[in-house]
Amino acid sequence: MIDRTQFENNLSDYIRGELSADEHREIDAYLNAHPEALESLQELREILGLTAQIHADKPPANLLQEARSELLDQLAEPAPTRSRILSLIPRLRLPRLPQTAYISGLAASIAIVAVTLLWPGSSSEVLADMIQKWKQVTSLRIEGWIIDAEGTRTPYRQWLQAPHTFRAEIGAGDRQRTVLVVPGQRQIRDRDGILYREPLPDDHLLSLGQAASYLSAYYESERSREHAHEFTEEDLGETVRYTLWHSRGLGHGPSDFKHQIDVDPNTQLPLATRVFQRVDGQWLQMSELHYSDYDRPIPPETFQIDPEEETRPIDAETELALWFERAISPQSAHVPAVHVPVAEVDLEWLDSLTVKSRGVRAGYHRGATAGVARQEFVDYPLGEILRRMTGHIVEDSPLAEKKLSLIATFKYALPWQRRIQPLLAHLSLEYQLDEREASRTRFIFTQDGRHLPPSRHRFSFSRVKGNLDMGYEFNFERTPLPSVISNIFNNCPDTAFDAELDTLEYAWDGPPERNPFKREVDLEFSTSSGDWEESYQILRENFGIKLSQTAETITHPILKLRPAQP
Amino acid sequence: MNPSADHTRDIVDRYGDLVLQVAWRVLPDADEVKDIYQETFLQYHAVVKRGETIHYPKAWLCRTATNAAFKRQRQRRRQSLFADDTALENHPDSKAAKEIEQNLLLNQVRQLAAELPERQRQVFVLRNFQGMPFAEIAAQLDCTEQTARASEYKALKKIRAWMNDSWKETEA
Repeated sequence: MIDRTQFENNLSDYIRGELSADEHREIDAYLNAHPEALESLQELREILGLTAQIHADKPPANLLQEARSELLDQLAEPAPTRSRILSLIPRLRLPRLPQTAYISGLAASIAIVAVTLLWPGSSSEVLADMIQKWKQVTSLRIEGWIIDAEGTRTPYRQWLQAPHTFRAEIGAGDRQRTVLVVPGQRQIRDRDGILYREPLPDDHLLSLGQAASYLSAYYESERSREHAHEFTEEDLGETVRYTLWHSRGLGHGPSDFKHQIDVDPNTQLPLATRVFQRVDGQWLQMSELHYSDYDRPIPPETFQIDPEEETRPIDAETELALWFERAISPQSAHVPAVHVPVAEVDLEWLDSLTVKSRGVRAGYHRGATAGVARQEFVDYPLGEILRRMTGHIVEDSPLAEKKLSLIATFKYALPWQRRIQPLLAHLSLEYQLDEREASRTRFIFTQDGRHLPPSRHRFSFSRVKGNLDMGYEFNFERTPLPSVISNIFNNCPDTAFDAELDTLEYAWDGPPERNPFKREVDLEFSTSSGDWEESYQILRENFGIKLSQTAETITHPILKLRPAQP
Repeated sequence: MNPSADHTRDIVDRYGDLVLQVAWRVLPDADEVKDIYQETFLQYHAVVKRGETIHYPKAWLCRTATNAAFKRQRQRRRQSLFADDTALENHPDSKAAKEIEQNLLLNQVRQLAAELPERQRQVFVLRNFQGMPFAEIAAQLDCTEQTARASEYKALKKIRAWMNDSWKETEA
């Protein structure tokens, strides 16, 4: 009798009735012997019923003639002049406009050639080169302005030095603030000259490589450009300008953010970046930063920390006061500014017409930029909304099931109690914080003691491409091993990991100097299923990682909703 | 018209119908299909104009048109994971409602096919949308017939599993 693989390989043709009589009988025999396989048969039959309809669907009769005629018109036209960068493009889609409109459009854009890229092959090369160049940079200086937390234009300067050091100066004169990050610690001097210092965890490496990750995710990533509302490339002679107008997190249509980068076509390095944000229907420029002094040595005193100088620790209160400064990183070179909610929390209610026009029935999307969180909910249960905003579980109740559509924007450092206060006040509700028992799973990673080779890269860089359930591409360069594991683990939907309750732990009982979880590693691989088992196999083979789990009962906080007391 | 344009014109005449059908089955929208048709042949023309030879124009055009169509399909879908079924709710006529429901299902298959890994997507489309036999698919994709069959099975199972998910959320 045939085996399972042969059965699977021939099943679709069995349903289509395209097997020989012998092959057909073999499938029948297999199904008789394996009744559980009938489920696969039924599943495929349903899908094949649909695909057969798609196969039978014919385009309208006149469509071929129309398409052919327009195409031959295009072929007959003389080729338009293309710029140096654009000449790398195999062929850009020409807009299907009346011929006169197209020619006049070209005439009007002699100085600036702007083309919406629907075929991103060439830009991929240029932008990939930019990322590679950036990853070789040892130092640089950034200068310009940003819109500060108070909504005013403020001078901004930043010096970055590989691998993990930078200094940022915000504002000027007596009220200038500075942020200084060296390996293992961050120091902030506030407007009043008070100095704060805090340790940074080992896996919190703020580096030029992190900025490369950002550049790559926004501009180089084909997926990012495909999903952009609009991606344009302009040849300005001395520079090439890329502008990315993002799509909404949920549904169709454009978002309120545009990012722009000017690249020097000779050095292939960034020259300037700008951020634009649409606020109340108006486009505001949020920053203008210029890049210079690539690889020029920076005086060591720029990054000097005086251990004798009196400092204050950073507690919950100062965390909120310094929310803007603490959000500054090398990535701030590209995401330096964002409109800050006027109140502590901005709530934008979405009416059903708006939601419908975006083609979304229900969902959730979150983003955090420069210390400001933005969470969008469409037809989402209140209990889930509050869980997303606080990290606490909400007790099931009719109140928690009420569905709402809104966008909440708030400073990320805002304590959770204050994040949800305006929403609950609007709904005339209040909460009671209670406790209950639940089962927590501890996911414990160990390593078999093998020596891990040193990273081949100079900077930390990580990138994940893919979709829930549909396979991923992972690329980690000089990334702390725990970050690699947690990144992969969190991207696998079948791990049953509950971020609110469960923990990821990294256990090592060998000598501290050989602790693999303190090492930075390189790993690049892709999965076809997106399942944890597939990725786990890679971690086992490459790093000798093993996973064990233990369950324990814990007490955890829970929010209970009730109508507000008068 | 120059020689390369003449050659492209021949190719358009020979494979234009095929390209149109490939695009239509992935994305049944007349404007989009015209764009894909144009994009595909203009790319072909650009390659030929550079003096490069495409040895198997049929396979090349098929793949290019399919990829272009799926790229647009993905752009349409983006992160909105829910089909807009309001039309269904508002339609009192059960026969029409059934037709709408059927179209939603077909669109769902097209959208999910766009998310398949490259090889599985190619096999799935060639076999199911184009009706190409496995032997021909294997030749076109330079793999064995068994590999093509296995890829199709995986693709069908994946699409079936994804169709079961009626509630998903996105997180950036």
